Amino acid sequence: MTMLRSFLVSFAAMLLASAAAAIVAAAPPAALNAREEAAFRAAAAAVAPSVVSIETIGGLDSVGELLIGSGPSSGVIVSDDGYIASSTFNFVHRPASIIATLPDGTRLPAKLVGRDEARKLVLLKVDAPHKLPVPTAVPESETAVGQWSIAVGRSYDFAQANVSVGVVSALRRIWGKALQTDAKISPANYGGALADVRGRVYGVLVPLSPNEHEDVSGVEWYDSGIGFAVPLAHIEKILPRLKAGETLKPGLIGVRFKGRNVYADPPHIVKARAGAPAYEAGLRDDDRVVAVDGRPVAVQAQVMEALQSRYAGDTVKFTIARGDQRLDFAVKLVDRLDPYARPFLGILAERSAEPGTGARVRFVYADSPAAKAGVLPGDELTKFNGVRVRSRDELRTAVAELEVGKTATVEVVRGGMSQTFELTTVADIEQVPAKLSDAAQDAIAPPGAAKAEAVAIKIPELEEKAELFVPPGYDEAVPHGLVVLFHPQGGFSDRAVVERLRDQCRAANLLLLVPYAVDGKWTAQSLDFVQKAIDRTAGDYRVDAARVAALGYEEGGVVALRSAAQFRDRIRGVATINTPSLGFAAETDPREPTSFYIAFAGDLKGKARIETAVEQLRKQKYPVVIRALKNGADDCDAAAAAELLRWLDVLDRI
Amino acid sequence: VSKKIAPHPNPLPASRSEGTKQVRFVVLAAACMLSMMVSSAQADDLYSAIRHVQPKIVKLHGAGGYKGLEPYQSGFLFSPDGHVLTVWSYVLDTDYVTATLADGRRMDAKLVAADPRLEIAVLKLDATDLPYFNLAESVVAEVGTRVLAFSNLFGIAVGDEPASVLHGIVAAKTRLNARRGTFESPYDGPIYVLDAMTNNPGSAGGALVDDQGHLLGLLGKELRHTQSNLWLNFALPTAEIAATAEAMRAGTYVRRTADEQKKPKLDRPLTLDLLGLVLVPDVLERTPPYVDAVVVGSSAAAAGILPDDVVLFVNDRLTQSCRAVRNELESIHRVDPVKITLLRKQQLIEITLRAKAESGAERAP
Repeated sequence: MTMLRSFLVSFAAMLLASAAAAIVAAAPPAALNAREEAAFRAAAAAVAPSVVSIETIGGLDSVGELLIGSGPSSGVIVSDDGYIASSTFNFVHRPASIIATLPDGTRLPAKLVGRDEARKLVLLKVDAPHKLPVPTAVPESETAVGQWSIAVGRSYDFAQANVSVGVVSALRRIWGKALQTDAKISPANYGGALADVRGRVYGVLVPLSPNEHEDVSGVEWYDSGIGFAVPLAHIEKILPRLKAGETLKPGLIGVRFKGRNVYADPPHIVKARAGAPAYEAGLRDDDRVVAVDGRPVAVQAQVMEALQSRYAGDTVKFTIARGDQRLDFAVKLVDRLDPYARPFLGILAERSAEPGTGARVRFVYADSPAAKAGVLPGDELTKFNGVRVRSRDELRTAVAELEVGKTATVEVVRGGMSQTFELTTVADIEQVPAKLSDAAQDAIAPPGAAKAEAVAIKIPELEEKAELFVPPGYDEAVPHGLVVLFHPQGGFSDRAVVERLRDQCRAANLLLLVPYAVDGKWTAQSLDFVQKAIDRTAGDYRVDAARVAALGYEEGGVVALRSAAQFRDRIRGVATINTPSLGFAAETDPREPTSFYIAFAGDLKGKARIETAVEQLRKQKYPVVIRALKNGADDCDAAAAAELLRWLDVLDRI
Repeated sequence: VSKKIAPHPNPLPASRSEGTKQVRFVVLAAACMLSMMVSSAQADDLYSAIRHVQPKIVKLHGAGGYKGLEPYQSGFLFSPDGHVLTVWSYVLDTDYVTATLADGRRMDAKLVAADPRLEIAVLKLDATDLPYFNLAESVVAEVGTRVLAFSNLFGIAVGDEPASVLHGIVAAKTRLNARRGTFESPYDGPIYVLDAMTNNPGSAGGALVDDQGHLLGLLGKELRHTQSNLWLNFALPTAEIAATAEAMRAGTYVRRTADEQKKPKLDRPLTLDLLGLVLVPDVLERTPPYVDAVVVGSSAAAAGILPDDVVLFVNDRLTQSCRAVRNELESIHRVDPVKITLLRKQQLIEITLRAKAESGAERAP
């Protein structure tokens, strides 16, 4: 009996077990796929009521070169009383009116109340007819790479949100400002929400770019597997300020660190600019930053990331090591610094390939600080403000550190005797000396010498070509200036321009590089070629880095300017002939000075635009020479051509 | 575990023992491919869907070959007798279109018919007993449905190499041309917008299927959304094209012109003048439609429209510019009422008005 019972029990248990096994086996394995799909849909459905559609009326049809679509875009409700976060991109065309449409079809006029310029976000306000649904933020501690991420926008249909699924690709991207996803992010969902698989929100979708800061930067990455969302938790934190109508801007402190590798070099201050927040707070040259807001920092990038999470107007605590002291300073960030003005002594120094005993003066500008102090051509400058200098380049670097209007001591060796002068720097001058003494000029090729040698330059995989003209007087021991000549769109109508410049550069002992765009049409790829062609030239010949200039005719001038802005470490001067649009989107930098030479026919269409642009450049403290040519002129006359050569020769003025 | 890239398994194992190995291989390959999957059995399921779809995909080569115009696209079989459905494009604009089947057989493809509105075409291959999609058995996808897109994008597959499989979801269901001039295509019907990158040379004409291998639609051509300026990844739902394709196959298709579908232009459309509405001078591409003046005694004046109001919607269609307002009015008959939504000091105001009848013309009831 007992045995039978136990048999029955065990039999039943066996039956159960086999039934369970059958269930396990029969449970459709495809369920996971379907369950995931259901989860994506549920997550999108949970977030969708908080994602609104945004439409605009009026505005520009293009911003820069980007054609702006007029289609609907998206926004995320962040406060139940009618505040909606969206992407700045959706409003770059500066529309006259904004309409937000709730998922139920209710249309509401919206007002743009606040902006975060660092994260490219805007805050809109509508008069909500009822409490609006606000999504829940995913806590940062629960966010991990690899989690499903569901992008939700509302740009195709008011009634149904559009959805894209991917994973969280990275956290704290673009200086800690955003998380990254491989869901398809584009104008179809910029301003929409990036949700987790549970229907909570990671953040608001925006285009971002690590290097560029225009309102449209990062859009070129749409639908490419890289997209960004600004964490909702951060938006919640800044919401009161945005609601109050603030425009939050990136904060600056006004210091320069030693070394260029921000990921490897320590935050060792080489220059704390007077008047800038760091200096005002008490930071000085040679201080080393060891912590920002209590978080230790070892490399420059960490300081930059710490600052990126704050805004202009915020106060940030800097901990500094000075000698063996540790000091704390409260630095109040600002949104803009006065542009750096380059100081000027008034000399040209001899160019040598190797550092020697000092910088030998080859020319002294009349009425300059150097002339007033009594510096003469032939003097050898050996010390500047106590810093030993062995060459023109070392002197340039030392002078660039000084501010305009400051007094410096200069040690000079003249006839074997050492003397000390005191001089007060002035702002860099624009005028080109009317005449440089013969001794001050580079060696001139004797008349009748061999023609400049033409070398063809090809870069593998690029279709563009370039010619390099090497002067017959080329001497490997002497650094040579380099002129990069940019033809107008469509190419030079007359090869005479190239030949004239070839002969002039030959006479002035300058290298001349002439890139030719494919079919004469400049494109973004042409710039890539130009950069490589310059590098190839500098690799094969001794190029004086202080005297590399881009010279552009007509539209070629735009390319010259763009090259100079993009390859700031390579190009020191930009000259344009008859170029009406003179955009130069870069700030003055002590290490990378840029001079301008702008020549145009007196009756050129767009002359007014040139004048406005020049004003802008001067406001940014760039030295600009303006040369008016005869009406209808399409090239420099003899006087202007000679002046242009002298301008090239004084690019390394100190 | 070291992961190796498995070569594509031959669906017909040469021997039994190799077959066993093959099965293991299949599971491994599918599992590698779908790293999100935890169940190999499930991966096997998806793999079986893929394996059933692949033989129905056709690689097409035809005209093109110069700058920017690739001489290839995709298609799929929809009859056992070699009927191939694909998109109508320049690739077919030649007498020599070659079709390559999944097993590597190459054959001439003859154009049966093309529909300029749907921009689809049917080709015929000289073959029988081919695997095919039954267009009558198609299913409908929803936003969020997981999908697989089969195509020969970038012409990467040659000979018996299988088509490329992209995965994604249906991102949106919308109309291709819900608003005038949205897309550069004569087709204005429903589409699936995908979050798989099908907007690439060679993709057009491929098959969109669900994770069970059921046909959802035909991958569309490379199109740019003229409103958002985006490249669009989309497919035409099977239901939209099945009848036309079947008619082409049956030889009962009557060619239509692309224009046939367009609404005829109204003889006597509504105008701003008839309403007594004066907008600000239209000087920009997108001049915001501000009301400049209202004619005294007009229906606009009677309805209370004021200068500085912005015309946001005409009959619920967004009017982003003065031009858009005029365009909208053109599709409304002058005797019909029109609903205008105005923005006045951040308030939406909705009014319905009707042009004043001209010299005693009859009023609509």
